[in-house]
Amino acid sequence: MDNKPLQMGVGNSAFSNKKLPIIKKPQSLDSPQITLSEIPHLGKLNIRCAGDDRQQISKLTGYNLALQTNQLSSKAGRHAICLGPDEYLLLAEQGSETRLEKMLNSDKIINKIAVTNVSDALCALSLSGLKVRELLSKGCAIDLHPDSFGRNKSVQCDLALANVIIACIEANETDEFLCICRTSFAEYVLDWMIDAGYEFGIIARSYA
Amino acid sequence: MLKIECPFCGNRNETEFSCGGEAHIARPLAENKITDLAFSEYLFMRDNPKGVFLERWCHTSGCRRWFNMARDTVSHEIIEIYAMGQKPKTAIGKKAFLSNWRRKSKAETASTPIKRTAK
Ligand SMILES: [Zn+2]
Repeated sequence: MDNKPLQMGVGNSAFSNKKLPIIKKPQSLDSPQITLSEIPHLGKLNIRCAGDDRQQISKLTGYNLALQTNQLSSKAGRHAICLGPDEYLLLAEQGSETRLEKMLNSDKIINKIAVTNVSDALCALSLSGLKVRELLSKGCAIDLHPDSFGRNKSVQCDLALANVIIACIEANETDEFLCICRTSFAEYVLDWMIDAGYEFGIIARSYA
Repeated sequence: MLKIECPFCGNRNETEFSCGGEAHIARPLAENKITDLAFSEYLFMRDNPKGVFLERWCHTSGCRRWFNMARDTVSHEIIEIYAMGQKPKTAIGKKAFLSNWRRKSKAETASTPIKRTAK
């Protein structure tokens, strides 16, 4: 492992020490049933606000914040996750989170809310495939059955003892899940997923 | 494993939570002068009952919100879960709250502003 200094704002990949793609599967399987990749440098903003201010933030940013705790809303490829009665995580494409941050900071609403750029603190992993639910349920005690964990549902829990946010972006034959963890835990979470996904066949590759 | 009903996330494993100790300990106000002995009761003394105990809990691995819980320390039965700043609503919880020695302590009495009499 080389000692490259960490650069703020550029984002560091959890995959930086890995040679991709990584394919792990039993010989009996033709192809991996789970695809895993990091969404590199995904913009992440943490918002703390009271219920009354949600509407104004929604108006400014275009995100739908009319959510219950552990719910997700998607709009034009951007996601908002409600982490608690007064806490939200906004996900935006690389670079655009600073624009959103500036926009909120220059509005008078900033006197009542707190906006923190957590892009580098958190790492977003994308999981898709038939067996994602089975993979995730190996590491947490959350009921991930489609009946109780459908589209736009999210949860904060421990996955193999690492604190994560799991969100269901798409619930169909090839489920799409988002797993957000601490950047410092990302490599561990990845290693765990690759290990736990072996029986279903798993491919870790760069994000397309 | 104990299952705890988080007011925001629902039923979760006990391992996701951390216990913050005794609830309803009010800090004496600076304007109310009390003795060091009375202050030390607020600062150091914690109840450790056999039976119903009112505690603060935090959903550390989940939503990271605090709440209060009335729990039986013998049976581990969770009698009720109620919001921060609230008092217990069940009869058992109310009894545990009112019968606590702290309700009569000098420190708790000194946690509310002095009633100023008109001159
Ligand atoms: Zn919770």
